[in-house]
Amino acid sequence: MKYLPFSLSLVTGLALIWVLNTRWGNIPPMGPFMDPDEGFWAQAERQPFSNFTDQLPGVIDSVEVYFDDRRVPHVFAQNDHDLYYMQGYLQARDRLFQMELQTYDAAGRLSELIGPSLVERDRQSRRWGMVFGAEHALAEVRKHEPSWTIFKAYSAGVNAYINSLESEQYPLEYKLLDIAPEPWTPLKTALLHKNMTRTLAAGNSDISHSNTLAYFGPEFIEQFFDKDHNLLDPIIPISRSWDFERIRVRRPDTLFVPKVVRGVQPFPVPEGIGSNNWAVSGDKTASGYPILGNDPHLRLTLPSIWYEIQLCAPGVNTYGVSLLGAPGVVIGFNEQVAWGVTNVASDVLDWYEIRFENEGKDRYWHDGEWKPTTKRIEEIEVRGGETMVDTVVYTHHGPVSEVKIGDMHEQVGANESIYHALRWIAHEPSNEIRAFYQLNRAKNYDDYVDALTHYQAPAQNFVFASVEGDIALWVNGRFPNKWDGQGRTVSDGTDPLYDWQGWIPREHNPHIKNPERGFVSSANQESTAPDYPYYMDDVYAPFERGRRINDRLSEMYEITKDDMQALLMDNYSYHASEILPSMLEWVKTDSLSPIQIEVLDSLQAWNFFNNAPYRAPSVFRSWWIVLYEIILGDEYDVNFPLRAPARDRLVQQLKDNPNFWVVDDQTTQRVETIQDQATISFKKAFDDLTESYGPWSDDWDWGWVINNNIPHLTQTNGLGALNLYSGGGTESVNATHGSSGPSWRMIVELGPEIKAWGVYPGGASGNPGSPNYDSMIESWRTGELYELRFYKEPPLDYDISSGQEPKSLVKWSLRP
Amino acid sequence: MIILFLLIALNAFFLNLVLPWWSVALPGLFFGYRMHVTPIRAFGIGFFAVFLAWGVHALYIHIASAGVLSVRIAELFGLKQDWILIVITAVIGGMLSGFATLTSSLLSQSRNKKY
Repeated sequence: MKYLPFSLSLVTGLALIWVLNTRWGNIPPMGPFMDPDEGFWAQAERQPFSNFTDQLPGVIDSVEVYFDDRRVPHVFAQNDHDLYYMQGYLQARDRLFQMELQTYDAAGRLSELIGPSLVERDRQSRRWGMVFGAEHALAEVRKHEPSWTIFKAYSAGVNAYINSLESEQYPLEYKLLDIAPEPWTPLKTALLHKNMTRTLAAGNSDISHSNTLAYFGPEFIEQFFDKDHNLLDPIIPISRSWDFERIRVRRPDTLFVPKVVRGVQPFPVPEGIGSNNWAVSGDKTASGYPILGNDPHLRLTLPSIWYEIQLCAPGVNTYGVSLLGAPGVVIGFNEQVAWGVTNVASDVLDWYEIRFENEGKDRYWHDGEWKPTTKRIEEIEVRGGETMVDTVVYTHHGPVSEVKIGDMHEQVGANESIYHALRWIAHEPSNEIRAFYQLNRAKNYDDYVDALTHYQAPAQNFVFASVEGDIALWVNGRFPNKWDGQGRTVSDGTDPLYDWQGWIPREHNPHIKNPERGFVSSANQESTAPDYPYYMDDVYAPFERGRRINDRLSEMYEITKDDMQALLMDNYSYHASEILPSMLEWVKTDSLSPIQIEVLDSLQAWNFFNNAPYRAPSVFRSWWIVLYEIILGDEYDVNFPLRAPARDRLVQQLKDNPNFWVVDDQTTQRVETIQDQATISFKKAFDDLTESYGPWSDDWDWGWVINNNIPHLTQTNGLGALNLYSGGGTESVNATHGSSGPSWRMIVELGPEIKAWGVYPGGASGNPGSPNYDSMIESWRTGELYELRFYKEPPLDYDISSGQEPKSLVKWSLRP
Repeated sequence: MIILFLLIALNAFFLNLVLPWWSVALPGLFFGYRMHVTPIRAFGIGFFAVFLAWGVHALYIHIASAGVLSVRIAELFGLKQDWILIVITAVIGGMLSGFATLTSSLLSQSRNKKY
């Protein structure tokens, strides 16, 4: 008995240790997490960033890194190995968690880190063959010795950093999740590219298009989805003629009718992915040299998707942004050339309906015979759960997913399983790093063209300008040579005429050099006019941004950096200018309240710019969304996916034929006219806005309603930047909207002294406890750009090039 | 008593720099055995010693880093004020040390009892 109090106290103390050392749900183990020495406190930066001289095992020769006032590293190495070794080391040092998270996601391994909630996403990553594709890519990389050397050097650099870490130095997110980093491998770099391909080139509407065709018929398709030449302002100007014959492919006599299916849940394609780029020739600029602009629009997160860096070694001196997990610069410039990218929405992903011999799925029917499948066992480790084993069946098309039957379909019994095989560019062997390796070293147009031949996916519009005065744009990537309309609908997996029968030869890819109009540009719209001999896709971004850029560039002369900066921040809405006047005409004012009339007046007076301090953009956008929903909501109220018309197509239809049949609400007895619908939707939009933002006041400013938030990668509270008062819109050149928008704005002025400016919404460091975590967001929000400090040789300790106050650089000297 | 208090606080601080978080229990275990006080006082001395060590350490980081991270973590945990985060940190360390001190003080007293 005499030891009872002692025992009670001991047990309580031990229990306390256990409780505080354990992760409860999403709450990190509080003992280690709150420990001032090892916990999150250790991540709060309190030392000034300072000069440093030391050994770095793994480098071959001495390396110097200069960090500028935004903490952008400028790496000066003696050889390629050390250059990419350092890039790996620095990226890991600043962004390790992001690098790991992206590649775990690509590999279908998130549940290993997070738990059962992500098993479905992981299973889908496996069924889409992400690792399969990355392995193919890596095999291709190994065939090219210089590329393989870079991959290995980069990995070694990442690992050198990881190995230098004590657990208290793990980035904050590791402590929150109670995990540890694992070694980096070249496969992870390949996986990162597959992740980009999934983000940018996994768009497809095969299933919804098939369903729409079956449900509404071909006339509806023609009205809404076939190319509309009136809206065309393609990337390659209409005047461009094509002096080659296309390579013929055989097409089936009648189009296969697939079963109407619900499909598998698509990967959530983030809204607002798109980009702008352009280059103007020296004839149109004040300096007489070309200027290039680019802003890739992506999902905005903290840390940012980009990492700014200068890489200098014998034979290369390049500056720009790189992706976390991959060597080289993706968008940037060197002393002779500059380049930028926007996404190409070509159809490089197709689904095939597969006929298996039996449930064993060992053989499938193709080209008149049973062909063997291969199987890949996928083991998905689950944190706090049992490992899940999934067998993925592969046909020659690609990996197979089981899909659910749509409700309207009567031919098939509810028990029948339907299988779709995925044919996707991401499964082809490729070596994109080689393209960037060469682009970073390109001296002229020919070097640029040669570099691009190594680039396959995700296809990009590569804009180019050189100090020699050339401007150019190649719609670049590897494109299947398809018959007209191939892969719009779900394809017949048994008929070889539906297979990809070959590739568009690289030299036939749409491209243009030094056009007469004095500029090249792209904004994800159609690549070409209809006379281009090949079929690429029927889904492109609405014409609005592209036309605005072309309109502005056509009328600009004596162009300076400031003009380009203004264009990057241009908030004009072609969309509003096209449809709002009609909407204002349609709306019946006699039933509106005085306040509603006042709101309407503000729309009448609006100049169609989505500027932050205006209220009209908020009203217009809400009104348009409700109108779209009222017009199409009744027709689209079904349990299987249908393809919805693009914004610009619906606008065109409404203007040409305001009372065509979809306008009427099918669920009511009476026939609604466009006047009725415009009035109903205006009132509803007014009510919605009043409910969300209170009575008509400054709170309705577009700057707030735009809802510009930049969350942390894991959506963790407190680690994001929210409610950023901003202008812009999905249809504006400045495509800021919600949590998407320009992820990197860059302007490069070519010339004997190359000059460049840029900004991205974030900061060099991925550590939420660093002042450099979000330090550029305010400049990004207001449209300011930083002059990029591009050094031709290792800088002196003070930067005197600008002639202003010397700014100190932090210098790291590293030796083997 | 003040000496014991300071010994626990200082030792906990330094041990924590080299050992994991639970090492702040060790000074309490060691010095608590030499503490001939009521259980409440033993707990209190152990608690406040590490409350002080961790609290001051966290407060220093908070100030030296201009609260750059504490503000975010406070928001993450839904705390309205960031200073609460420092108190929670201090309490966690304090609780552990309090029980350690109490446990070993009870042990020494039990061994000295006859029955």
